[in-house]
Amino acid sequence: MPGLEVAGLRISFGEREVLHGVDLHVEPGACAGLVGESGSGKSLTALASLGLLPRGARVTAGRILLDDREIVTADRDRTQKVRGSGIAMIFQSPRAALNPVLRAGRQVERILRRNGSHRDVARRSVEILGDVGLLEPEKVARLYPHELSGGMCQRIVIAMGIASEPRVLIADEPTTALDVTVQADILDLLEDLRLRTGMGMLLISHDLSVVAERCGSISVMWRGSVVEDGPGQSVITSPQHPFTADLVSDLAHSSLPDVLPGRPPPAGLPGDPARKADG
Amino acid sequence: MWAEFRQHPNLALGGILAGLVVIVAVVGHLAPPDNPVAINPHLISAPPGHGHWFGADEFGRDVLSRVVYGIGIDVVIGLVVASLALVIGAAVGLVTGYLAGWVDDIVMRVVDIVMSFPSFLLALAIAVVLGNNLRNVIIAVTIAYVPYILRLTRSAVLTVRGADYVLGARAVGGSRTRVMALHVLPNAVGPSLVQATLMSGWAILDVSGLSFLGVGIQPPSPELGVQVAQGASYITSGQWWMSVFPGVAIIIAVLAFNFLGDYADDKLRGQGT
Amino acid sequence: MTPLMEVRGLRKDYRRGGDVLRAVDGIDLALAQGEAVGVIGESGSGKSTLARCMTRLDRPTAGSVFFQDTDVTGLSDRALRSFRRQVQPVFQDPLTSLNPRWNVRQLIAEPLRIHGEREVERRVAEVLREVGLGRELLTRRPANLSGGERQRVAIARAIATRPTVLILDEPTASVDMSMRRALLGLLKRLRSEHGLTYLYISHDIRTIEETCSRTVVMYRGRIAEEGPTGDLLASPRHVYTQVLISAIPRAGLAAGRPDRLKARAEPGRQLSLSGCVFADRCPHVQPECAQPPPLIEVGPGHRAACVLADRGVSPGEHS
Repeated sequence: MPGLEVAGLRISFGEREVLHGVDLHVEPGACAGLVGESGSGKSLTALASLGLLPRGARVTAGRILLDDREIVTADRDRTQKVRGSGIAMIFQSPRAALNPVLRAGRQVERILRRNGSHRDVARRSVEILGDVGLLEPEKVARLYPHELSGGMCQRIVIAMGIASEPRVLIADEPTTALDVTVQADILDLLEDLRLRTGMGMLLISHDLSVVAERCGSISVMWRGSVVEDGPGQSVITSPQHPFTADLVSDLAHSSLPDVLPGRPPPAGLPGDPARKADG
Repeated sequence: MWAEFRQHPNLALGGILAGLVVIVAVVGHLAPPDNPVAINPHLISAPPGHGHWFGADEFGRDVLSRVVYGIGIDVVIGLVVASLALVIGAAVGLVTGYLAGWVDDIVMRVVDIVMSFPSFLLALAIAVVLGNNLRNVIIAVTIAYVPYILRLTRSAVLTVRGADYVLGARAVGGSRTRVMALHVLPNAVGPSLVQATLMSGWAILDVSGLSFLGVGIQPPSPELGVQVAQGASYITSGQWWMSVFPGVAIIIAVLAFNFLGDYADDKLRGQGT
Repeated sequence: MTPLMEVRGLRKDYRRGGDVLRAVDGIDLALAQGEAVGVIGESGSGKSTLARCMTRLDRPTAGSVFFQDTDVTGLSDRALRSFRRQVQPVFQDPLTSLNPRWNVRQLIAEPLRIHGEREVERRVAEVLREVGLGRELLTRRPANLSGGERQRVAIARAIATRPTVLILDEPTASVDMSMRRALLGLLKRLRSEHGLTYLYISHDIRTIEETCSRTVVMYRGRIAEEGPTGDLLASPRHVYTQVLISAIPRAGLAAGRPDRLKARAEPGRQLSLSGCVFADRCPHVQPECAQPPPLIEVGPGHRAACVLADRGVSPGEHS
């Protein structure tokens, strides 16, 4: 199968098994969602796909494939080759992912260089910063992370992620540390990039509403296993597992209007685009 | 208990050494094999041999007795200096770090001035001015060490005082004094404790160094530095035992404290405060 | 009826090097006895600073804080003792808001000892029961508790002296989702059983919806809109509130949010001090927005500081 496939993945810390046979599939161009609480194993699954397992953890069974090519198996779970294989990952804390002593542009340039291209990196770096929605990217490129807001930092991290032109982008709680308006902007950006480049995306979150809103398929993890998965709509409307049902009932609590506020004012009032003359 | 020793070799080494040092110091002080200050004309400059394992010095005094008697002196001085420096430095560092303001500025400038002198030279100068005796040596070295503890404590206090739990302690009605003593200090004093442990060893070095130079403690006190000084001139004529044994004793004592200090450091980091 | 706690014209500036950061700029807020008021805001809105000023952990630069008709703004620590018994904060992260070296018993007993409670042990046991924790936790330290248990300890500590007001700053933010509902339930029960008054600060509109009857929306140190929670969420009148609400992820919507109302991209450091603080990012900005915005009443108890508040269409209404 094209895309990212996790098949029967088992991971243990020493003698203790923490991931019990996880199956997951991210199709190219699609967004797959992974929901679970802390400790459910969702981040571990993602880290395994990049060969970034923490010390003491090892893959005891199963495999991970990218476009039908095996990239992780029980005896090859921690190799350099896995990274740069076409999977990129972005994490929750943008500032932790950025080097505080390097300017933004340089950090993207480094990724470009690491992936083999050496010509024109400065220009391409600025271009990519523009692609992730940063205004005046040439100016932003010269700034250090501490001079930028959380949202802007996350955009730079995303820029670094897509600079390697990955087949699959794994986003592990990419917006949890951000304000809700910034969160929506970043998720819009990720969606936009996915549609433009055709890369697959695995969106991991503890917040079901985030995943439900953006992903075609949802997998629910609980204590190291995938307890439910399927098309987003059906998981939400008819959850099978009690944990999923719990999460879904949290969603239903809201009395927020289905219709979004902020529709433009009706014709004739200030703000109406047809009334441009009055500006 | 044993698991702790296995996990922390520093504790094992330091503990064993320190234990040995303490035992030797206590026994040596209470019941030295021979009288450490008794002059035995027939033993003048006797090399190590039966009955006198460390030999005898230029006055015929048994070196072994002098060393085991003297170790006690140095260890006690080291501990006293470190404890004084810790108490004074931590107290001032706590108050000035928590209250900040102009008092903090003044104190830090004084600290800066004191710290611009190498600590040994500073202690030397103070001891010379005050006069050559044990009490003044302790005062001199303590003064040289206080600024380091002060700065260390203050720096930790600056971090801790912004923590939510300190705010929380104020919010439930705690007075500033209470918050400082019960919340800030215990969480800020860790690095200073480690430093004080190490300083016990360095104080021994400084004090014995001062007495080697003839400042502070004077002969006939069997303090180790004095012994090294007195025996130094005889090395060239081949009579090495008068300096070397006291010197080795100093090394062992300092090593013991260094290992204990490393262990304290390990424990501190393990706590993760 | 006079409000139990009130803030008038509150202003708080922070000095960073040469710059002055105005975290809170002229806030008026009143809490009636028994009310639960929510404060929504993103980072930089000043909501945490507001909480600190209201609990007098910080001294306001200007304006006043009233509690039971007494001006507590400039009071010394000693004079604030009775205030501190009655107004308690609950912080966001119990890992940092509880002394890591103390055990549960010491943590809950501390406020009692400070205020001279005579039967400390009994009260500690009582409070522990109230927040649903077992006695075996008394000897444990915060690091050895689960997230939910930790926050319950923080709440226990806060209610130990029988306060009248709790100022909660994101109390469920560092807790797993499954625990969140239990914690909210606990807070609701405590409030009804003891007639407590809450100021509930959060960035999560869904939790505020569940707990608060009235809500205030803050942006860059000022109040953008306030009103009964249901009204405010169903019919937001300040453009910022609309932007905020339309950004909330919602399961029912298909991928692609063409009609989400977006704020304009961050402008950098330029701020206009006069006029509406949202003007430089507002998608519907008008020329009049350069003037200080009027506070427009759009419904019973529902006010918005926006020139467009009473114009335009809200969801549910048909033009």
